[in-house]
Amino acid sequence: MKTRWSRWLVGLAGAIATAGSVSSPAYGADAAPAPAGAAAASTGAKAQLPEPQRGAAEQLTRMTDTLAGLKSFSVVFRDGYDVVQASGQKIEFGETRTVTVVRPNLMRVEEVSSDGLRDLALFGGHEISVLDADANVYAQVPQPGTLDESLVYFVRELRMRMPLALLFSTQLPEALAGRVKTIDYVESTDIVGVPTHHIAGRTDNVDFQFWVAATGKPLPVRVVITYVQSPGEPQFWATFARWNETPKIAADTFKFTPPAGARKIAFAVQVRPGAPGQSPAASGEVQP
Amino acid sequence: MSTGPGMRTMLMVLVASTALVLLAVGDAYARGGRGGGGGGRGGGGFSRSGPAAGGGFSQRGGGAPSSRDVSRPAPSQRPAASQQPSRPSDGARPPAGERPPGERPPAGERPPGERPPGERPPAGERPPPPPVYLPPPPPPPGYYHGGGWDYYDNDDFFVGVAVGAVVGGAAVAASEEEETTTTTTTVTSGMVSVLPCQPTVTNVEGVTYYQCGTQYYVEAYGGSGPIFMPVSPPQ
Repeated sequence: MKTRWSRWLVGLAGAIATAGSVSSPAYGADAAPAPAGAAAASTGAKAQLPEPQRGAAEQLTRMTDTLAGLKSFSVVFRDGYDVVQASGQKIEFGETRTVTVVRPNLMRVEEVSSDGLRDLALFGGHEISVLDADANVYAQVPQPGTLDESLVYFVRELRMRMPLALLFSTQLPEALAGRVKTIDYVESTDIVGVPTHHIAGRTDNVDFQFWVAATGKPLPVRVVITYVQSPGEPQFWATFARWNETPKIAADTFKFTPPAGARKIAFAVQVRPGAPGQSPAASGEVQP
Repeated sequence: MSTGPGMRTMLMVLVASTALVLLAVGDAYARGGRGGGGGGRGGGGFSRSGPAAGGGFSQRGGGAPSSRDVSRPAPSQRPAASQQPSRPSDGARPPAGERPPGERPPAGERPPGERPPGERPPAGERPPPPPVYLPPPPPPPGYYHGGGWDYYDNDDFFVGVAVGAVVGGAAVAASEEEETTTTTTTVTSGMVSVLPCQPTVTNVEGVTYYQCGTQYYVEAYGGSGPIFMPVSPPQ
């Protein structure tokens, strides 16, 4: 409840490290050591963190360390996101994504978007392939390395969309510790269908909420991200289902085979663009 | 109770007015009942991109246009001859001193043997055209392990400005990004998810070009699907 949200600003580096130093029977053997930087930052913070914040940080640490520590998993998540239109009207779109990961370098993401279009992103170890099944076109580039590196490359260099990519990276604990400015324990709730810890946090430019499973592995059940610096404060949300740490991997799960008749095209970042609306004359290619 | 001619007239006017209002309302519902008039698959004219679409854990700027939101121009927005930069139709050019920067001076005003900047050299002197396709961007070494949080956040680097930065380094005309302050919609100028015409398709040295008027496009994989990107004409 909101009355339990006593705002208490703290760099989560300290908060996370504090939580990391708290033993937890629920986490048990899955606990990973707290990041060194976070541990250093925890000095002093441990004593300062009120109990609700300490509990929230602890839950968040359990979740991120658990995610980063999984050798393989599959999960299905349904997400939605607001798009604020020019009129100010907020419209929600979304998709269902089925994610299969085998670390250190394999990942398959199948997407069905709210308008029914189907996409595939495949990190096969040696190549990254994306397929638009409806347009029957695909693009491929060499995969730069591990999945962590490939996700960065995919999003940053190839300019491709990968919601919640950070959650699939082993860099998640350190990244979170470096960003979060406040953390609060909202409540214990089963409103999402299973017992969860509802945690709310803030970074410099987004607010986020996690509902972390309170029984079994502390995996995310739901996440909401609010882009507080954008007009209309749009939100992204996702609800996770069917976490599976021992997914069935078929021989072709991470093998890309273009569908019959599929056309290979370049990634947009590989195309040297001409000026929009450009005529040959305007480009200087042809004398007017 | 009898009704006089005046009352009948008033009733007729009232009925007619009501019918007109109902028709107008019905028409409005009919037009508005399909997602803003566009209807069907593809957003019905609504933008699908914005900061929240990326699902990142931080935010730096505009949204990530997907294949379905870079531009779906209404007919009135489609490139047309009338939208090309125009010059006075009556042949009345401004005096040389008043010419806008970059406009060609009349031939007679040019120093002999000197080509204005940007003017095409004779065929024999022309450099080969730049390739349409570039190699995939290499992963810069060493940046993956520096915290990396921002790198995962697909907030502001799906957009055309980033495309331009990658392919050209310097300012690239096609990387113009238009973002209003009142909406999260980001429109990458020139990129379209649907070609504005029934294109003429040509294949030049293995590259498939789609031509609409004088504009050429190639198909490429954008943020979340195929888009058409404006390119220079094939040589």
